[in-house]
Amino acid sequence: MIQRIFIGILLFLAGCARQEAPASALRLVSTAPHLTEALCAIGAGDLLVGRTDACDYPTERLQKIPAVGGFGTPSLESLLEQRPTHLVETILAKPDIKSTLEPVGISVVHVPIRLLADIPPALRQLGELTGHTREATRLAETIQRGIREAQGKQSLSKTAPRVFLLLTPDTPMTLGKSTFVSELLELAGGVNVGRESLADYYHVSLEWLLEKDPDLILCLYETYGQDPCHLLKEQIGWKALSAVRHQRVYTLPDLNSACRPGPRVLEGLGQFKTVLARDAQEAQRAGIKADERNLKD
Amino acid sequence: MIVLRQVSAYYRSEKVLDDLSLAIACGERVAVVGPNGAGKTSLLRVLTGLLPAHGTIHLQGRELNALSPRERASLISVVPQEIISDIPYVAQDFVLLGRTALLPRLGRPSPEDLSAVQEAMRLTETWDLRKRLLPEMSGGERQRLALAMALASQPKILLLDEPTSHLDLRHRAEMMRLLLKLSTEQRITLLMVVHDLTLASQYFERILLLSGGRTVADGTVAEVMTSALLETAFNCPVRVDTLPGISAVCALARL
Amino acid sequence: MKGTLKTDMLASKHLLFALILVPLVLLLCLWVGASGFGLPDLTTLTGQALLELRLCRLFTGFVVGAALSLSGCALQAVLRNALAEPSVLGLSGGGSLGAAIVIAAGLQAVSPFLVPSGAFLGASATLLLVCFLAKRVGNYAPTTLILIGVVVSSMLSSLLMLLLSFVKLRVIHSITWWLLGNLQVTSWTLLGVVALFVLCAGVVLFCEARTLNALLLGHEGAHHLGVNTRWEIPLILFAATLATAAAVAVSGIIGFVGLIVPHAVRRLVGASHRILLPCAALFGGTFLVVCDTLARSVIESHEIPVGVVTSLLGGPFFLFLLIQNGKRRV
Repeated sequence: MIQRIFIGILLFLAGCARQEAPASALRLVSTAPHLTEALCAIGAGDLLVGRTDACDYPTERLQKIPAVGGFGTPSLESLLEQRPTHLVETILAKPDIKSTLEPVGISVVHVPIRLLADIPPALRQLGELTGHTREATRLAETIQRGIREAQGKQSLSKTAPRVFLLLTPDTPMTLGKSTFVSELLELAGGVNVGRESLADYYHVSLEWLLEKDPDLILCLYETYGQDPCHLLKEQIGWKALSAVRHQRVYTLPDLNSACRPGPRVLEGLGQFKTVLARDAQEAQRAGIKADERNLKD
Repeated sequence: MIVLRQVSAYYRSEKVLDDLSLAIACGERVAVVGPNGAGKTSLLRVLTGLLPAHGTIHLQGRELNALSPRERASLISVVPQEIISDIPYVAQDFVLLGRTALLPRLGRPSPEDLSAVQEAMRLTETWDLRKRLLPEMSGGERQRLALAMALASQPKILLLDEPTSHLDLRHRAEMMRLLLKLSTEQRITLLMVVHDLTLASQYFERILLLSGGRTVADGTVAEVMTSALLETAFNCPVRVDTLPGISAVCALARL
Repeated sequence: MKGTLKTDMLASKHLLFALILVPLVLLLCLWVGASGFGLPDLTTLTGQALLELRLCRLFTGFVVGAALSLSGCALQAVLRNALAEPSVLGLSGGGSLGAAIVIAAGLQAVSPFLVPSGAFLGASATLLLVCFLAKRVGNYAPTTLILIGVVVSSMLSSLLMLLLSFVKLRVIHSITWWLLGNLQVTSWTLLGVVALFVLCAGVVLFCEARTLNALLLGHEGAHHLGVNTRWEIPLILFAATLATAAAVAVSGIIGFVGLIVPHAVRRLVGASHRILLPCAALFGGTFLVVCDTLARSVIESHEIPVGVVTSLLGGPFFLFLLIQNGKRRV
């Protein structure tokens, strides 16, 4: 009860402090970067009145939209200042914020996007919500087609390099099977050595990594232009990995499109494919035979 | 042995010793008495260098400030009032602590160090306790051990601040007997802060009465332990009964 | 008067025990791995790398365990508090904050020396702050130091939490993982530097062993015994901090070792620091290596933070000590 009074006062003050906005339809607040991207991609970007501080694409458009909190953690006051009609979320740190917002007329829309398969339905859901159904359906179909194509190619390929996805520079932390990045990697034709675990991301010991001895290492952290292989070569344990010895340590040019389950998923997939292709070329040049690679499995 | 000339000391801007002058000869036994805040403990602290003082202080002819901490510690020992009893220290190692100022930093104790410890434990009748642990000892045994520790450095001057306050009648008497024996046999100068005036009169020939950081009286028991002097110093009615070898002093309650 | 005085000597039986048992236990730990018991196959490159990893970890564990134990002994003596341990003066808090700042700035990827340096500087800066504040208050008395340490520690925790509230999720994860303690060091150079610091600190503390003994009687009591408390106490604090900061820099926050090992060893070999310090270093180092061996071998492929194992083992042991103490009082 007290909460409602408090919210009411805030709204009143917010209303007094600003001019009346033109009476319109939707005013959306996004609580996740990939939702922001999805909304902009289906043409509903001008309905956005609030985003998170982690949202960074598309850059110019987002500069005009204020940040009202972090990923899954909208700040109530800044949120209410924008007087939204809907809050779009995929995961909330405090789910009971729903019971605070709904009484004051803000609907909380849950758009679950975690894995590859969630993206097309999510886009359609957002399309329905914003009235941009045509663009949403088109985008969803493009993505589905792209995924199907990749799946087809995947079954044709004979050799799949074993990849270690490295999340942090100092300690071996990797991703499990049911994560978006792992799915993209496998779709692009690689095998995630960390797939045995059900956990999303977890730490492995260097001993385990040495025993697995992956073919290549993909660094999924910001390297500031430096070659990560350079550092790994100096470190005990790491330097004995064949991936490090043969300099098969790679980074991705744009971590966001590769790691965010959003509308740029095909771009992300493209990045993985490029890296794997480059690696295959260089490996061939270095003379590592395909048979050798298969033997390790 | 101990000479103080116009010594003043301050503690947090409060004057605790005011122009005090004092001379104690070698082997003398002096009881320092007086009301709370008279400067008794401050006097002891000044002698060990814990409290900086104006004026001159000479110990065995040498100026206190000119002595290094180790030299000073081998000259003057302080008997601690209370020993922490929950650390499992072996008694003989504890007594060895008393020789910290003389022990080599890195090397083993020399035979002289060991014989000094042995002698100190013999004098205080704690030799049989040498392998026991501190926590296992009674209060009286610990107090004797504290004395042994103070004696281990073979000091010329022994300072004590209320060493008998936690002890019962018997242990109090034992402690004082030991101290008496030490001062006569070993010619150690004794300076002890005492609250119990009767006890002071029993065991000390010279009484130093302080009040407000100044010497009110300095002399024999008969000279100092008069009801007039004591009443002025302690600011309460006092009755003194003189018996052979003891002056029983008690404060009268105001009606 | 019968009997001779044998005092202040490392009992030969303790020394023998330590010299035989410690290398044996360490060697045993070398044999244990996540894949079971046994040395890896040294003919393969992988096998050699595995051995090198284990050796490095062993060495790190030993150095860190020894550092924390030495520091714990010194702090318990200076602060005259049985519950004193390396983190009581806020040193762990400072180290955490220093490391967290470096991680948050994304500098982890630049060089493996940066996070340890940040932690080291953080811990050292904290000691300087505590000493500066103590001087302002007027003295280095144990109560003063402990109170200031508690205040500084909580301030640093708040700053750390403030930092955590601003950074991305992944950075939070990195910082938290660092805080949990981890003995997998990947640079022999870094380890060498840390070992050197710990050795220096150990030597200084051993030279001050008699002072540490004298501190049993308190700072004033020690003064009476001829200890020059004005510079010897800061020196001891500095040495304890050097050991702690070096340990924290390379391994994160590992609790309980600095608290429990001094107590346990005191019960075994007595409270005289000339024996206590070397034995605590040996025992503490071995204890941490054993804990770490458990941490890395119990679950295959997953690493349990070593701080978890030390707490799980140390906590009950501490309770046991308290109960024993209580019984003795009664």
